[in-house]
Amino acid sequence: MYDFKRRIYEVIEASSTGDASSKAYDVLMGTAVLVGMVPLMLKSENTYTTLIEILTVIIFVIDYCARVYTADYKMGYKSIKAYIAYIFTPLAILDLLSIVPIVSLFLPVSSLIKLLKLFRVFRIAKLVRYSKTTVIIANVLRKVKKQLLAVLVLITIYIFVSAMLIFQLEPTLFETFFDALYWATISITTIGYGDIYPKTDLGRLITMVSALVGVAVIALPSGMITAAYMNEINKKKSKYEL
Amino acid sequence: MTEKKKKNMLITDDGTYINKKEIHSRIFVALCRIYTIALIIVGVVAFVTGMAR
Repeated sequence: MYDFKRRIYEVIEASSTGDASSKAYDVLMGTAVLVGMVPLMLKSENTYTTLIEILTVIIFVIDYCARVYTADYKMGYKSIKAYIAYIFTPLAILDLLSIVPIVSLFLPVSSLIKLLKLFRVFRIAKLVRYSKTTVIIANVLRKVKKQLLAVLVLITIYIFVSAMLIFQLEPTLFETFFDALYWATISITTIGYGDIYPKTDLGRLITMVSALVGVAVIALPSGMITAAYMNEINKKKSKYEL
Repeated sequence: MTEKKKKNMLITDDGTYINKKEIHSRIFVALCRIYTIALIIVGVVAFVTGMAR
């Protein structure tokens, strides 16, 4: 019995050696994820998109059940806790969310159902398992998460401060504080759509400072991620050289 | 051949022994490939008909 379970685990996990079953399963899952995206590229749905939905969800449900069934192997300990812990892992939650759009086939169209259909995009996250590069990127993001969080807090504070300043200095320009927040975000990220722009000298001064701060602060995370990524690649290289 | 090993084997008409697991594995691979091809065909048809509208 346990041999059968182990075999299922070996097949559903990304293939590392020349296991034909595992490779065929990986190709099937990758195809199901990519083909499952097709309905999102079309304006209206037809018979074929419904067929895609049914065919892909069958695969995803089987995959989810198999992953929960072999959770003890994945988590590394054999108890009921392993199954419960696995269900709450990020990838298992994403697996579950990728099945949710199937309810749209059985319920009448509503805004909630339309929202549920958008959950299809979560399916792309299933590809993370099968790509070594995405695993490296996930490790890198995990390593620099404290620094990224610090930058995020810094940017959020700056956006709020500049939004509050501009909201007080240009009361005719912004109807709500959300408009000011929108302007501050668009300015600090140096996107600058130009749909809202300050008219007073003080407002313009704040915009100039925002743009300059934006150039410096927005560049910080990309620099940190690049440095950590290069570090990870070099570590892997030196590991192979040894 | 031991009794346990015999349990995992199938005998063909010409008397040769084949591993049961290997046959199951081949069937699984074939089913996966058929499903993959079916998905690709339906995906392409859905995309083409959807874009044509």
